[in-house]
Amino acid sequence: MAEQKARPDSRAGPDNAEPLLSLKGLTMGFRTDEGSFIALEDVSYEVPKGQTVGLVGESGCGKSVSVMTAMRLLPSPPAFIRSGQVVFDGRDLLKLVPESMRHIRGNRIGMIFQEPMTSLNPTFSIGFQMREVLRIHRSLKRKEADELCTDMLAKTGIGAPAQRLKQYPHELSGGLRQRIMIAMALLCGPDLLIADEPTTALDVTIQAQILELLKELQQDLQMSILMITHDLGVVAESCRYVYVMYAGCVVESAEAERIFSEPGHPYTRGLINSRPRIAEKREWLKTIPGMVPGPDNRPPGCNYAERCERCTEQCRQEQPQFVQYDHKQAVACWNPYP
Amino acid sequence: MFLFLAKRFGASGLIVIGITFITFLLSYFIPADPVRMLAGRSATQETVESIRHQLGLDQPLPVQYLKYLGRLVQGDLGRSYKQKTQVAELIASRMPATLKLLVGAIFFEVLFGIPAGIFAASRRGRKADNLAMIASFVGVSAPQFVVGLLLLWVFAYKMALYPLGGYGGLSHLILPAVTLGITGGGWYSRMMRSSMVDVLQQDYIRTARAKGVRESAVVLVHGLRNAVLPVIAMIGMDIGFFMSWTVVVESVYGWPGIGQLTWQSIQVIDTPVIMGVTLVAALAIVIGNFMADLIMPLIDPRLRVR
Repeated sequence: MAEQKARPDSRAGPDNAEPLLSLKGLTMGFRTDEGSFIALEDVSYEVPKGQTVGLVGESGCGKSVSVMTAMRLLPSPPAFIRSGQVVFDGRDLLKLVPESMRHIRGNRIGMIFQEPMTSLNPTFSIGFQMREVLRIHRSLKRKEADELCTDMLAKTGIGAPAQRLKQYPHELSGGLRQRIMIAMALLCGPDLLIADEPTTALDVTIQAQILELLKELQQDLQMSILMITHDLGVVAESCRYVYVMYAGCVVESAEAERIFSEPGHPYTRGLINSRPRIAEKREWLKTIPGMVPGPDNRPPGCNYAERCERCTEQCRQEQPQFVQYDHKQAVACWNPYP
Repeated sequence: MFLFLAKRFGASGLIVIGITFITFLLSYFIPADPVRMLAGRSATQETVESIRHQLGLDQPLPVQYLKYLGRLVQGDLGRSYKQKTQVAELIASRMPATLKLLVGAIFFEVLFGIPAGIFAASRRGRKADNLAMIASFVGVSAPQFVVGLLLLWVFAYKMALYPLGGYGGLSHLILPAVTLGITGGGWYSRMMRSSMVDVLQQDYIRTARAKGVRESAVVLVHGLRNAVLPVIAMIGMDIGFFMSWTVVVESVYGWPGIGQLTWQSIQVIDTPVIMGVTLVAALAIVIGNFMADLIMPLIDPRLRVR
């Protein structure tokens, strides 16, 4: 990891900068016909102003569910919230009336998703879908709105932006569609962009372009980004601070370079070791054995115990507490790597 | 777009030719000898043979079919055995009544079915959804003559709001159209609901919500435009089915449409009329589908390219 130079500025810790978004002890779950189960357990994380924070973990660990809950985009029922707060700019989003929440979505918080191919409505033109955001949150005349949309499309590196407004999603490639999603999410100049696996469905070359674009736009627009990903490469590329989630819990949080140099939680270490590296010639990639326990059969102790190489009897019986190492790192493990 | 139309039109033409062949075979397989029916019971064998020759029914099947096609092209559907008039005239005289009923019935089907389906889908799994679906189930399973007689009894007999059946203007049309609207609207609401439930789970609906779109607009703008396509296809089919589906309602209300004509001619095995009505009903299905094919690309741009 030669490019992972220590950054001189270490204000990255969540307790050093004023948080824009903070989840505080969020516990929620779903009610189904077979009974209810807890999906997120005491999840807390913070996104400071103007920074990029990563949320990492395998599929099904609750990354997306945590932001969907924060944005109140999960239908309830089946979703329910047991406890916790989602504080955005001093207000608890979970307590807002639906109408106030609607004015935050797309306006102060923009979102982009993993599936650029299906995230745009196939029956409306790009222009309609972009203008709609401005119609809801700003009262602009059609001509002004069109100009703003063209500008934003140009900013995301899309050629012939005025023509794109007349096109339909099925006429565009996945990379273009994701750029349009980004442009649409940024139209109102949000304070926070939630990027839910923004590059997972794209070609590797397009992935790099999109990440680069997000970086530029962040500096341009002075916004915060919450980057959800299972790809540690994306974290290394763009995040300053990282939260690692496993089976509905945050298990480690640390500065990005610390995560790679001294991962504390065995799960984090497992994730890092299972990345392919060209320098080492190995026939097989390292994997973490086993699977994430489903929300309906989590063990009494540490959720990772079954798959952990450092598991002890205590791990099986008691849930580990979150231990703050210093302002740069905290780990929820009975037996962390030193 | 022109190519699309031309292709669609060509396909419809092929289907129509296929239909004429089937209706022609129909006449051949109906287990009644038209010549015997014309000549009467006491006719001699010679009279029967001469009538058979006059009608051209002694010629080989392919020749008969080609002659039948030739007459069709000239708009000649043959003569009714019973009523001694041209089948084409017979059908034409019934057409206005059927078209009126068709427009009225589809209006009420759409009016009852589509809002109920949208409403149920947007409250999926809750009480309102269950209530709407029970209502639609009652509509789907209630026999037309029961609904028809019930409406007639309440609104025409007891409350005397509408005439007790018969053919006429709007006041005559409402009860039969509502009867069909109730029984058919159940199907529309079910189709609308399942299509909308499916659409509301799509990623672009999540995007719309994340943009801050009002929930009503999420469903009625982003959802409906995608979910309405199968319903439009169904209306297209319905236009055809209405030529034969309305028999019961027409009898209950004494409505002189194609349905009654069909029923009467089946009872006396009036083969030319049966053939004519079958052809018209099949044509109506083709036309209905063609219209749906024309409308759907206006709603979904993905259908415009092909």
